[in-house]
Order: sequence, then structure tokens, then C-alpha cells
Amino acid sequence: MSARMPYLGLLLVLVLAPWIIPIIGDSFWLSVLTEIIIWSCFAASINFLFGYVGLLSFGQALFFGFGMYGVALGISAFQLSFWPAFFLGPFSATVMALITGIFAVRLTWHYFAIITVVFSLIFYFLALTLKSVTGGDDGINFSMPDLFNLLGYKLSLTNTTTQYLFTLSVVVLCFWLIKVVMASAYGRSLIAIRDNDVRASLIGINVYRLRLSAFVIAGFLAGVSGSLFALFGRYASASYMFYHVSGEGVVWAIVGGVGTLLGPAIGTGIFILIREIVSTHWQHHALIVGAFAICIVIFAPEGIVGLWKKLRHRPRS
Amino acid sequence: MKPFLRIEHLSKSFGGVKAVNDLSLSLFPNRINAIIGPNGAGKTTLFNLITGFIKPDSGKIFFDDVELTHLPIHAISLMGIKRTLQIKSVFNSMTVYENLWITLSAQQGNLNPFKPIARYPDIQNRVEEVIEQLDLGRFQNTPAGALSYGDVALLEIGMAIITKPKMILFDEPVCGMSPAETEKVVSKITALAAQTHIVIIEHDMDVVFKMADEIAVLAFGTKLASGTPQEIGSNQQVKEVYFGTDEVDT
Amino acid sequence: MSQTIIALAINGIVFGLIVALIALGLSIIFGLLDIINLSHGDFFMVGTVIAYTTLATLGHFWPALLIAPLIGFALGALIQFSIIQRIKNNAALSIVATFGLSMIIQEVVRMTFGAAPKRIMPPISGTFGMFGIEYEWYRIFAAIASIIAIGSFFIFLKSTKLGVWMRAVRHDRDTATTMGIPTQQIYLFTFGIGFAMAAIGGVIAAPITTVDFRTGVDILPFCFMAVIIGGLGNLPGTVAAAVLLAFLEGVISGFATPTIARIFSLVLMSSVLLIRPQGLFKGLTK
Repeated sequence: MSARMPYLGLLLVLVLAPWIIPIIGDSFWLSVLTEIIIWSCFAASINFLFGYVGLLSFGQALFFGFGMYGVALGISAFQLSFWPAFFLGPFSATVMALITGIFAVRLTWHYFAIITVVFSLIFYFLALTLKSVTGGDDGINFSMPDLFNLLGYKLSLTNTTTQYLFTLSVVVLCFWLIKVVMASAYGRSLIAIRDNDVRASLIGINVYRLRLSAFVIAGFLAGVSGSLFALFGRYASASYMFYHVSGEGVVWAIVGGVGTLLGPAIGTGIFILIREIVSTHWQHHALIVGAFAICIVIFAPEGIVGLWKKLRHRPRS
Repeated sequence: MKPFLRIEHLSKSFGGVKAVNDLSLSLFPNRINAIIGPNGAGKTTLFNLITGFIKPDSGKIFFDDVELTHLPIHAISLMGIKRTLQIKSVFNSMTVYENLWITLSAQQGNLNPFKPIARYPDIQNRVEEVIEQLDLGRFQNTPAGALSYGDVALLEIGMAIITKPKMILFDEPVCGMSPAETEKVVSKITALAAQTHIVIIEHDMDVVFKMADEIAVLAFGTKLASGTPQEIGSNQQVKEVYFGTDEVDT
Repeated sequence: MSQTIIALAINGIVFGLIVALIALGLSIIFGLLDIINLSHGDFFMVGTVIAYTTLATLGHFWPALLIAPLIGFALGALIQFSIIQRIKNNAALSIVATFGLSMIIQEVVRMTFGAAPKRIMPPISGTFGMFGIEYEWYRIFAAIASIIAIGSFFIFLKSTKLGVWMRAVRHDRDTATTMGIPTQQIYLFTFGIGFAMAAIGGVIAAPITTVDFRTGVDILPFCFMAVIIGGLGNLPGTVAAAVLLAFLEGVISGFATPTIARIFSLVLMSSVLLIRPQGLFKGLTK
């Protein structure tokens, strides 16, 4: 039970944030925290593939984009109400992950990484071409349908606290799902594939099929992230499908700690916080962020969570 | 008596070199079969062909009359055919316990992502049984990557037997082991022969002649001779292929 | 119409040769140091900025062809010494480190050079008649300069002691070290050369592209694709792939928008990766 305490403690703090933050600072930081949580899910999708399966995807922005546009177009073009649109986002991302995964998962390592970039670029440029639909790099805006409207009692994501709690619930659910999946025989099979794919097939694991299923799960996670993002800003833009976005996610996941549950959240959190904190004082925050990434790589190569674990298990002198 | 493994006119070339050349071989049950031959004779290639690592250019492979020739690796494994590798290879980040656990789980085809690992008592019991059998208890919680070479080999054997397979292919099971470790492995494998078809590739002639009931000699990708250790030991052709025309000790 | 296609096709070849030069730098960095260099496109961009700055301060373009590789080499060696060396050939960490480096390089350029894109005039002006179109002299120069640079690189690799050492380290790092080759210095040198080559590419390209702190981002995927499609470790293959891809894209953009041409070449790349992942040109070199 004591192993669960840090998680529960963290969860408690996060749930109470909308009331804690205004006390210690500007409520603008609640929006920042919301953003961090949204992008943590994105980093988690990358970490799921890289940390647990050993596949480095540089194209998760593709599924993020489908999640994003699924919601945005669902609401603006198909006039869907909240829940159907919120279903369409991750659903289209998952379908896309299945279709691209069938091809991508036939490759490994560098070739896999490159083909994920290629696929995501194809759809990025397609999104640019279909500017009338997607709005290209400028994007499209839409207005938010209510989350919940019963007998005059309304819940809408236009309320910052509602938005925060909704986002938190969804992402915590996703992280919990990852935890459960990785504690199953399926999860252990993924790790076997990561460690030694030859041995894995020798013991009877269908490596291709398992990799494909993991790719689909990761696509789903990235899609959820994209959907939440669209709901957050009431906005979708093709520029979020560019490979640079995928690259950022990879960096967050690695810095946080590959193959750990909370690593992606911590990595994302640190980078976004640095960006926000520094940019209020100095416009050249990119220098700090870049330097930070380099320092982590040199001084904490196993990531922040890895460093934390190492420090905790340091033998007493 | 019917052979459990039937290889018919198997051929495989790698860029012009015929690693396996029109090889035909039948292996019969209730005995330990050994495959020997000088380096490059095609022994490991044969194992790779049987287990599905590579596909032959021509020929067929039958196990219990079921054709294996074009099946994928995992399908062949699930049929009950397990092997150890020449260069010992296990799941390094997992403990010995977890390595054994996943091997049995894979055979059972457990893929439910929502059922926690702790809820498989039958796997747990069998894993503990094998750990007991192979005396792996001391490091059951050590990551496999931290084990010594001899212990990894023992783990591999554990992984080969845990699913109670129909056939195990041992590729140089005592390579790089101390005499004590060799002794241990030889007795374990011999004990297995009662319930499982055993095929061994081995270079150590002492081990081969002590363990094997039936020996097949490969040279240049094809079968040179087969028979009891006695017959092989006095076979002139075999001696030539190994030692030129000098005597071989039996 | 067909004349425009010819112009676009030749533009493609010219562009492909420049990319080939840059991609070669990327390839040797990956081949020798196991580093996935996400800042390589920015090395190119730095080259374009050096070209602009040389022209602006000295009034002449040509010195940039010498200044850029020198600065590039020095910067590359410095980066390798201070950062890359500590990563010890770990591909995943190199992604993070070079990503951070890329952010720093872009921001430094943005701070000093400014955020507004600028253009420079080609140092060789004028056009000539070719295949019924008027074609810029400078682009022909660009192609020739790239060919000379690429050629010199291959001669260097083949015939100089340093080049042979580089090839040895790429082939088998451990054996090379045991043979007494100073691998640490070779790493320094390789990264320096990689930066220098990208920088020269930047100088050559500057008059026919925009000088902007973001141009590295666009060119990076192209370079990676040339390296992978050409075949990992296959240097001539990288050159061939870069030229082929740019040529195809150029031709297709005669029939459709550049974006659609880009999509087309990307689809082509996926097919190559799926059918023949070891690259198109594997059998063509030793």
C-alpha cells in the first residue's frame, strides 16, 4: 500500500489545484497546468512505444492531429454535440494508427523512426493542401458545445476549473490504463519484445501483432491528447501535425525518463514550466530550454525519474 | 517406429554458399539425438530452418507429420518446439523468475491487458517448480542481464522445459561451461529425454558420446553418416572429415 | 509548359546536389558517432547566414565559401568536444541533445540576425538560353560547386590518411582503436567536417533560397530521407537518393503545387522503405 502513497498524494494535489493555485499565484497557471496535463498524455504515447516496446516513433503528431481535427471538424463541420465529437477524435486517431501501423510496424529501429516521420509529413502536407477544410497552418476555430446540460444545470469547458478537472480526469484515466496494461501478461510480452524480439518470437509471441496493437494504443493516447488540446483552445491547426511537435514529445519523454509511468508527465511539466516561467521575463527562453535538455543528457542520462530512483537507492555511507 | 522429425531434401544457400545441401534426415523418438560435424557443416543453419528463422530454398520439414517448412517462428514455437541458442540470449531486463514466467505465459497465449500478472497461479506454480528443478532459487530475482554465462545457459534450459514441450533443440548447451556445470546440464538433459524429444548440436565429443543414443554427422551441408556412438566412432569417413586421416578417441 | 518542367527538373537536380552535400555530413556523423543529429539542418542555416553576413560586411559573396566551412568546422569540433562526447554514442540521448542544440542555434541566430527572412542576390547574374528556356547562371554554378565539394569529400575519404582512418572507425570502431587510430580525434574531426559540409551547402544555397532562422527545419527531414533511402552507411547512395528525390519532386511540381509534389515524393519514400528498407542503392557500392 505504501508504494501507492506518492501517486495518491500527487493526485490529491492535482485535484485541489484549481483552489490552491489562486492562493499562491495567478490563476493563469491553472491553464498552464492544464496544458501540461494535455501534453503529458502525448509524451506518454511516445513513451509507451519507446519505453515499453522499444519502438521510437517520431510521428505521433499525426495521431495528435487526427484527434484534434476529429473534435474540431466534428463540432464545426458535422455539428456534433460534445460527447460524440469527443469520441470522434480519439476514434479517428486510433483507426489511423491501425492503418499506418500495419505498414510501419513491419520495420524496426531507424527505419521505423523514419517511416513514422514520413507518414506524419504526408498528412501534414495533406492538411495544408486541404486548407479549406483544415484551415492549414492558420487553423480553424470553433465554439464549445456544453459538456453537460441537464435541467438548466450546465457544465461547460469554457469554465477554466471545469476544463481543468475534465482534462485531469481523462488523462489520469489514460495513465491508469497504461499502468494496468503494463502490469498484465500483455504488458510483459511487450517488454519481452523490447528486450529481445528474436527470443520473444522463439517463445511463441507474435511480435508483429503485438507491436501493431501497441502502436494502436499509442495512437489512441496521442489522439486523446489532440482532442483535449482542441477542446482546450477551441482551435485546431495543421502546424501541430508537423514533425517538430513529435520531436518535442520525444525529448519530453526521454528527459522525464524512458520506460517509467510518470516520466513523460514530469518531462513535459518541466519543459513547459521552464518555457512559461522564463518567457515572462525574457523572450529568449528557447536558449534555456535547449541548454536544459543538453544538461539532462550529460548529467542525468537515465532521465529525471531515473535520477530520482538512483538517488533514493544510494547506499548510506 | 515413426520419426518425430523428418527432413526431406532440404537446401539453403547464402549468396552462393550452400549451407545446407539436399539434406535428408529422420530422427526417431525415445532416444537422445545428437547432430555433430565440423564448423560450417550446417548444423545451426539446420536448427534455424527447423525453427523458422530462415526459410529453405527447397525441401520440406515435418514434425509429427505436420509440415513446418513455411510457418512463422512463433507458430512453430507454439506447436511445442523450443530451442536454446548458440549465443545465449534471454530477456535481460527481466529477472530469472520473470523470464520463466513470460515463457510459459506466451505458450498459453495470455494476452488479456486487464488481467494482472499476480492472477495466474498455475503459471506461478510451474515457474517455482522449474526454479526448484534447476536450482535457480538463488537468483530468481536477479535481472538476467546480471547473470554469469553458465547461469544464463541454465535459465535458457529452464525456459526450454517450462512449457513441457514436445521437442527441444539444444544448440551447444555446454559451450563455455566448467566441468561441474557441464555435468549438471548433461544430467538435466538426460532426465528430460523421458518426456521430450531431444536433439542436440554439440562440439564436445565427450559430452556427445556420453549422452547421445543416436548421432547424425553433417558435413558440407549434407548428412555424412548416422548411427550409434559406437558406429560413428569407428566410421572412417567421419574421422577423415574431422581429423584428416588421424585416429579419433572414443 | 514542357519548358517549365525542364526548368523545374534542373532546379531539382541543383537542389538535390546541395542537399546531397548536406546529407553526406549527416551520414558520416551518424555512421561514425551513432548520433542522430537533429540540429544538422540548422548547420545548413548557419551557412546561409554566414553567406549573408559576409556579403553585408565585406561586400563580396565569394569569401563566404571559405569562411563558412572554417567556422563550421570550428563550431562542429567545439560542439562535439563539449556535448556530443559525453553522450558516448547513445542514439536516444543524441536526439535530446541535438534537439536542444537546434533550439539554441535557432534562437542565437534569431537574436543576432533577426527574425525577418532576408534574401541575397546571386553573385553571378544573368541567364542563358538552354532547352528553349532562360536559365540562371548561378544555379549552374551552384550545381558545379556542389559537385566539386562532394567530389573532394570522396577523394579525401579515399586517398588521405585521415580519410582512411575515418572509414576504418566507421567500419569497426573497436578494431580501429586497437590499431592505434586516435578515435577521439576522429570523432572531433568528423563532427567538424559534417558541420562544415552543411555550412558550405548553406552558402551555395543562400542566393537561391531565403536566409531565415527556420530554414533548417524544412531541410532536415529531406536529409534524413536521403540518408535512409540511399542506404545507411552508403555515401554514394545518399548522393544518388538526394538528387533522385529532388529531381522527382521538381518534375512533379510542374504538374501540381509544390506541396503535392512533396506529398508524392513522401509516398514514394514510404514505398521504398517498406519494400526495400536497406535503401535503393545497396548493391551498387562495395
